[in-house]
Amino acid sequence: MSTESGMILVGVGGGGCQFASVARRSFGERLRAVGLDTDRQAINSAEGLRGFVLGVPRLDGMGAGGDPVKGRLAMQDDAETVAHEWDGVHIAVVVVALGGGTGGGATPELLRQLRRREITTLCFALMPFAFEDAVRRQAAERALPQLDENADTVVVIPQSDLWSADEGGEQAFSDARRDACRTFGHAVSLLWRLVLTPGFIRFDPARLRAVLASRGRARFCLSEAAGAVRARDAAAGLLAQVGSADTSAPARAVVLGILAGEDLRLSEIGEIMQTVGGSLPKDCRLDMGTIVDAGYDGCLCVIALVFETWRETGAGPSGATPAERLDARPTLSGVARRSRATTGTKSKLGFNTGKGRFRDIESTIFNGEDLDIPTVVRKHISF
Amino acid sequence: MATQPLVAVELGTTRTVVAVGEYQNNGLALTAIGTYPTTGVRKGQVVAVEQAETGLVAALRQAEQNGKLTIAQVLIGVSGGHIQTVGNVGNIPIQGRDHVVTQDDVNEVTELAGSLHLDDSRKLLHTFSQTYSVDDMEGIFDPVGMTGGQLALNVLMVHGARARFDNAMAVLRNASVGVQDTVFGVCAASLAVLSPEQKKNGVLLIDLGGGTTDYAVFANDVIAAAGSIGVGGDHITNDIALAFNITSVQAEELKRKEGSAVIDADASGRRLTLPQSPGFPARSFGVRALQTVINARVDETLRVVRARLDEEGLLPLLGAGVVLTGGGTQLRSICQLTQHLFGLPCQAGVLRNIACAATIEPAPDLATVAGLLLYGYEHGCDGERIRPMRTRVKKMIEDIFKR
Repeated sequence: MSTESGMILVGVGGGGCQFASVARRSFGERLRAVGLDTDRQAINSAEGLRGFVLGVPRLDGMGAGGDPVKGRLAMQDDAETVAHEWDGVHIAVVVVALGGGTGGGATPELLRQLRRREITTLCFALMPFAFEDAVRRQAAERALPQLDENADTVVVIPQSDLWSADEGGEQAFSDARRDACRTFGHAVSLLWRLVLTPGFIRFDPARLRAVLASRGRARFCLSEAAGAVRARDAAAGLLAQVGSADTSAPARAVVLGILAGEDLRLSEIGEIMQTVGGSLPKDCRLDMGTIVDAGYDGCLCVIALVFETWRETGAGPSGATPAERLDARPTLSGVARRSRATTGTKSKLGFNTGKGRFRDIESTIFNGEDLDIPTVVRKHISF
Repeated sequence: MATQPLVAVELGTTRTVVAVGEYQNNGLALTAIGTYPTTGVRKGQVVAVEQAETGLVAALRQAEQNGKLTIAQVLIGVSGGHIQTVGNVGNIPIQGRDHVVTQDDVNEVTELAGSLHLDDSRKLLHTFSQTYSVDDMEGIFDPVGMTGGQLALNVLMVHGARARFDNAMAVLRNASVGVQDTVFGVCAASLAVLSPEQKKNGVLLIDLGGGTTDYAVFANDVIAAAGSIGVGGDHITNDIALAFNITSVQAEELKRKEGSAVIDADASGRRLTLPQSPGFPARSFGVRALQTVINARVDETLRVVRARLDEEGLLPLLGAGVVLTGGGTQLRSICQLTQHLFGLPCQAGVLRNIACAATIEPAPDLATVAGLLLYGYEHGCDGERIRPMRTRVKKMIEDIFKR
């Protein structure tokens, strides 16, 4: 099944499907969206998604009961069932609300399966509210490293942040919910807007994929303004969220979308780029696209995905490979210490970087790494 | 009194092992062994049927000569990264008199739990019963006689790619031997080396094979997890060969002579010199460099196992530590590294309650075939499995005349 944009939105678990449904509504039918859940009732209530009930033989459509192992097994059971949905997909945006069994268990497994198909993944992970029970919050914390391990880029959003517009707590629940959904809808649909409804400047999907594939954690920021100096105000509002070079986690790359109505002026784009670009660290990569939507006349919205880390493809969020990040225990005396080879993948001994006797056999892949390639090559171990 | 002998085959990546065993005086005795270097098998999977057949036939002949018998049927141990497990739960209402669980209920829930539909490309190898639950009481081993409304059974199902098994069957068929049963190798090995106490307290068995690293976890007397990773001793050899631009044969020899899972304290000052061979120049390099390459690979492989168990929350259950089997146990300091990585005591597996003929050394790399034989006896495979030599010769003559 082909997609117009080469992108697909996937909601996983009850919360993930609900938020994916919101995001799809905010953009429309051109956004292809799939929902994966173990709870039949929940998936049926998520509008606009092609719903799949996972693990029916083992869970009978009744949910994973908060058990991530069941969630993972359910995803494994139905890997083939949903596989055709990934045909023609280059980028998958996965939405999950962590804390439950399906989201926490099925999502890492799904990300693994997508990685095997060389699909670039951006995962929006919604964290539980602070007032939710400790079990849910701990489950979410446990699941997060697995998302880091398997997704190309992870955007962590505390659900309380989505509702931050209601700072005084005076807003009616329904209004606050509407605002939160709108904010999240903007975040998730940003990529589709950049690619499918460009304004003056179109964001090339291949460029987008390259940015996402650089891998790591990212933040989502949004700023809206109206009036004569809306560009300046929106840029300033965004910078307050992005953080400048003197923050503890400087931005290493930013994907910026400028969303406005037909009244968007070129000078406004220039002002935003100058303000934002001038405030970012010198080595920060800034990719920008504009989105023109008649519904935004009089208003200007700046949306950004801010990448806090910047690592090479194949490495983990902190610059380490997944296997290196497993190395949580102290090193045994006499066990090799890892260091970066100064000559890249070719050691001083003239290392052959091929797979040798395994070149003509199905690769053994673990966490996206081809284990048939000598370990010392993949981990840059000098010897 | 001895029973009919059984024969086990391990079509390994580096060597094929054929073992003959008999049940004598309430214990298994390994009476004959045949081994031969394997070609045509990679990562535990047959990639060239005829080549694999050559090794199998040679090993069969050797076992036949040593055991003075003709082998017609065998039990085979299988492995490979395609082997996976899936857990399933069967759940039935207890409808009998006074809601007391009967043997019929147990049979029904067992059948239901094992009835998970697998894709046609997959073949089910085993369904291991784990524990029962009656209503909200979990962890029950024998529910017969208990009272409740619902009876559930957790099972662990082991399955693999049908095509891969078919290739192995083709090798056996070409060698004119039938297959009595197919068993996941590491599950068989567990029968030979693990004690009931270890299984109760929680133990991880890692079979370090030539082409794969297989593992099985036992906790509270049941098998909790099993799996196979397509990385084995062959990868160590390949890493060495590529690192130092030497032949696989040289790399294998270096691995055996100087290899170590951890880097020796005195490795830095020692150098190795390899003479020139066709296509490969003379080489000289340090022992530390060699051991660094080996350590990196073994360390990574064990971490993959650990990560898989961690994912399933099984590491805290391993009270009895780690047991290693397979050819990889010959690598020096492998237990030391495993102990460090898992933070648990580690030992090389020892064949338990298995007698061996004087010519057979009871090494950990025989665990799989010994376990296969135990499995065969436990599952009633003994009987008329060995045809007299003259019967087979007669059949061969008949076959010739048919052509």
